[in-house]
Amino acid sequence: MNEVQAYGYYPGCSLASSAKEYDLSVRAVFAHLGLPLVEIEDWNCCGAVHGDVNDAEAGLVLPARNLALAESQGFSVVIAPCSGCYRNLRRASKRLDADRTVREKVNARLKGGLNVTSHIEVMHPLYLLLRDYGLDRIAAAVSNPLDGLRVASYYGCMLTRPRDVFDSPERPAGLDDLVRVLGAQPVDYPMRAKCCGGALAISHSDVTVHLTGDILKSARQAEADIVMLACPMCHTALDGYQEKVERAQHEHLGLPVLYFTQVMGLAFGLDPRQLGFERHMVSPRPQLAKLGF
Amino acid sequence: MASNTHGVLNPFTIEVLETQGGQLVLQCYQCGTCSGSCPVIDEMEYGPRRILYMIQMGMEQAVLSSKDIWRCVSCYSCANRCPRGIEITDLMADLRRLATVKGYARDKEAEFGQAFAETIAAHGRLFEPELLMRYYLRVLDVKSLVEMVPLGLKMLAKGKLPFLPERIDDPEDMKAMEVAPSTRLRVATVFLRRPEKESAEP
Repeated sequence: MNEVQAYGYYPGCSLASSAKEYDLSVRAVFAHLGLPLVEIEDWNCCGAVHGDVNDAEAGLVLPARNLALAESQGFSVVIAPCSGCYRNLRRASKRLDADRTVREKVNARLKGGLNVTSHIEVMHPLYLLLRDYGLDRIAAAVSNPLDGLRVASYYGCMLTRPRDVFDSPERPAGLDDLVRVLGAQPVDYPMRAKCCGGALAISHSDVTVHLTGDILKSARQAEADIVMLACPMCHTALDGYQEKVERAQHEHLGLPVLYFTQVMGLAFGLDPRQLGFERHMVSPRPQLAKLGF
Repeated sequence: MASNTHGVLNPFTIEVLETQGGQLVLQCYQCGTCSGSCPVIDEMEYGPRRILYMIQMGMEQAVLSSKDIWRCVSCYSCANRCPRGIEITDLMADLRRLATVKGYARDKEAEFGQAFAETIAAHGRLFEPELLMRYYLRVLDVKSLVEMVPLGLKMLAKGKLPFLPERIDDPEDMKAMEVAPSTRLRVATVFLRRPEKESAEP
């Protein structure tokens, strides 16, 4: 065994495709801090908000298969960077812990000899870094403080809701604490924990454009240089739909939306080419140039 | 069993009480914090406060055919603030499922949910191009499809949309777990399957 026990890494579907830059930067930051991540082999989709559309139990079976895989591969802690996956896996883990009957029913539906028998702790990388690694040690890894960068932290929904032990669901602070430690400046704005409407991005995209527009304009008014977030669905809305917002509201925004791990990578002095900035719809190049990248 | 413990209640109210999100639905005292916290209240016909009351009154048809349950963005603002501890957001998902199973679902978002479940059932992982193809074939909404094309092309150019599906080792596991009714998308299965996996089929 390694000195440090490896975390089971659950990238989820978005990080394997549309949010590859989040995957790259999570891996780069964890490697830089000496925290071993090992991808869970053969992981499946957590079901997002659709896993239970036909059958309530299927909404638990999908995340439970991943917990069972993690257990069989020797992991006791699973890292899930997508807020939706994080919520689904964490909720399933709690329900299987709390209710033996539910656990037995779900286990009976898993195939290939898989079973959930022990507790698996599901963590979002943000709160794993803040709580278990610590702000002091993150500060010690900063070689390139992001002086003068004004950052609007955006928390979205499932990172802090339903209520959990890591942060306030009404007035979350974790991302802002991180911004300070990285040498940048957090900006205060009222829409930090409001919903982007990402769940309806295809079927009712006008709703997504409306909710996302409110968040982007609020961050713009607070004179943010960038928005920083921790969820690939929110990123698709705030970055991917930004042009739709600009067109619908006849207003230029040009507000780059970065993952917190990309911003950490910059502050740690990692090569920006490792962090996937070219993959954004709204290019962060002007803001990066101002920082000397 | 349940009808004994809730003797005077309407069958629909009992049905909701038996869901995971609806267990505390009788606790609602109509304070309206949920509707006041809802970011999509303007899109709704009733809003969560009235939906909860209609459940207590047993109004199955009005609740399950309302568009409100399909406008919920699952943000958990209502559930987080509910002074009675009602899991309103999870309840909305339970209502979407009841509407689907009982044949009330007509909304485009209901079709999206089905398209999503079918894609997962086929591969074990999401494959966005197939999800979108399944969805637009279900709703036949050409205008929305055309509006999505510019973003889709940009996402392709940025490498944000894959050409081939990622799959779990044995997609048959998903079928055996019965996570969704197994429906093949003919067009997609012809063009998008990985040949080596196809040969493994009986």
